[in-house]
Amino acid sequence: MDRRLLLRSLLGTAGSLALRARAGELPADPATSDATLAAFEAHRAGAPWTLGYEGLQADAAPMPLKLRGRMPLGLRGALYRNGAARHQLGDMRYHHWFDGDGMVQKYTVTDRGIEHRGRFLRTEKFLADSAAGRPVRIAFGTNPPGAERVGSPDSINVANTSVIRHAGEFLALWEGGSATGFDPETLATGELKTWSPDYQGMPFSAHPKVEPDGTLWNFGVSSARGLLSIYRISAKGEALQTVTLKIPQMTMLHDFVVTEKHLVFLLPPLVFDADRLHAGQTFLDSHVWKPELGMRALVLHKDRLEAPQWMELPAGFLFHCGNAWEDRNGVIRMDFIRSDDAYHATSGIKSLMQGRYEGEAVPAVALVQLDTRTGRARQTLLPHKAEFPRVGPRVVGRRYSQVFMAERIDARDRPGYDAVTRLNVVTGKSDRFRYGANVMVEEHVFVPNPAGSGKEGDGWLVGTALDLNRKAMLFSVFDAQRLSAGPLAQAEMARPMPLGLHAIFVPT
Amino acid sequence: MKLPSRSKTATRWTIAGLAALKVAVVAGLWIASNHSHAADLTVEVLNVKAGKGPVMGALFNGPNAWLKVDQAAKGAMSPVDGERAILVLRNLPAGTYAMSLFQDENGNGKFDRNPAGTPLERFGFSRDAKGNMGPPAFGDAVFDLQGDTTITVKLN
Repeated sequence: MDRRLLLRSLLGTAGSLALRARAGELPADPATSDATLAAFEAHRAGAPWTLGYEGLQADAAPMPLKLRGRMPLGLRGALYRNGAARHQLGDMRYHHWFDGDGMVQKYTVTDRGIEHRGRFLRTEKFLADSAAGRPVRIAFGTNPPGAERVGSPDSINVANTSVIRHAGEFLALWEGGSATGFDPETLATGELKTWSPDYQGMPFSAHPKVEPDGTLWNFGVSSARGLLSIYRISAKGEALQTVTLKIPQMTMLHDFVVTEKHLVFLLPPLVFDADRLHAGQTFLDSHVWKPELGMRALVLHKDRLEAPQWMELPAGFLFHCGNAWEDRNGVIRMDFIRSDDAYHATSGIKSLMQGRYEGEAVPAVALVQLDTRTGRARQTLLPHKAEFPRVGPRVVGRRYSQVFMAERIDARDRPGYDAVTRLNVVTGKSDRFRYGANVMVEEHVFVPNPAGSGKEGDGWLVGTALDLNRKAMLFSVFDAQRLSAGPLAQAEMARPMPLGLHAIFVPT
Repeated sequence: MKLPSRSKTATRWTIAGLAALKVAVVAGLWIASNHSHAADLTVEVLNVKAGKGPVMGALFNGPNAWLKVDQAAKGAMSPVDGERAILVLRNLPAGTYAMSLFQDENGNGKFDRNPAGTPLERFGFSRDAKGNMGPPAFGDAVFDLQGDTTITVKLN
């Protein structure tokens, strides 16, 4: 039996803490360090969908795609996608899909065709783990045995969630620490981004919002101290304002929305408990579901960021919001993807890493109204099993009706999505294209037609998907107003990639 | 509620400032005059940022005092010389101590941290002890001082 486990069981918690201090290590997950790898190896043969969760051990060298159809003339540039891509190293497989090292993938669209490449971000953690041949630093949902002590959140930054381009800089975003710069041509890793000297190393979420005038808003959560920080950054990349608020019972928080006058944060009642962290739980497992808190809506006026207005919605969980706008009566309308609880986000996703599919949460698109004058909130649910909501760049924080999403129609006995949908949140009508049960659909992004009318939704929907039968990636372009007609053009890459997270399209 | 620009709560990262150094120096003189066994501690500090502000150190003689500004046994300060600094603490009674150091890079007399408490300036501890997302425990940094001693600390 592992000596550390034996001693911990003899000495109890106090002894275990002393053991941690003396050994210079952190307590390991109880006896499941390699259970995830063993389970995955056992299940994968019978579960073709696990192809999307295997991960990579090396960068993806440049490879051309085979194109069918013609790429629209105005659509030139590159799709950049981020996501956890190294899910195991040595004998250890991470327990959660969000743990692994980030890889930026780039699909470049030129007159000559489409080419793909992928490169891991050489973060401090990536380099330390690679040198050791196994994870030696803690991750979101995994405490590897013998993990080394680290000094700050950026010591475990995996830069794996999303990408943005702002003021000419390309940044890979995580949420627990700084943004990480990268070269848009070679995808080589650059420096950690500091927006202002006193905010160096502060968390910067994966979902900044850029308003039509180019102002970037973002937030960051420092769970241990229950802090929510807000960033207002100019179109030129200057930090105009940074503010930090203390939030009681701070929760996990992944996304937010802006309107012309306000910022809105929906706090799902998955509350951070520092005692659990100190007792050796992973960061993820240190969160406790407390539905009695409801879903708290924190509303901040942009001119009074230190004066929160609180409203309440029924308890539920979310990762992502679509968009929001407010009318001249101060009523904010927004949408988010809601599930009843955090089970899928925590346990369900851990099961996927073991090659086990337990079935889906039953999410819904939630339409919310927040009346800033009366303080009242209300919510309607639309029955779409969807995720990765995206809107066009010109309507961020402004009146909108179209939300693009990955949707699950009839994906059968595997996780994820099999279709892309455009949902009108005002009328409830939708237009969609179903790829098929054996195609795992990733987030698709709306790209305005530069020669178009400028009206909302005039442009293309661009995105990728993993074809399980062909073990290939599909890169598809749709008329965003005619998804049901199928792709205008589709290219295929003869190698599968790990399922990714968030993407952007950067026109040439 | 917006955080005040300087936190009033004592935090685990608080390290002796200039006022505490004055207190510690006076206390040190008192201790030295009442004990016959006294030792000098020389601290060689490496990985200092060249051309920036001084290295400040605070010595603590027990876990209860550890990292509490006003309970340092002695303090010291030294300008940097290239990437090194030398601090000397004289006439210390024999015993066990732990030391915390930082480089006041911007010369504002304070150990600067971001709002989440992560250090913005270089810092170190005796025995090059490391904490986990925070300072090490006294016991990880403790060393024995029986006679004149030189220790080396490498800043992070």
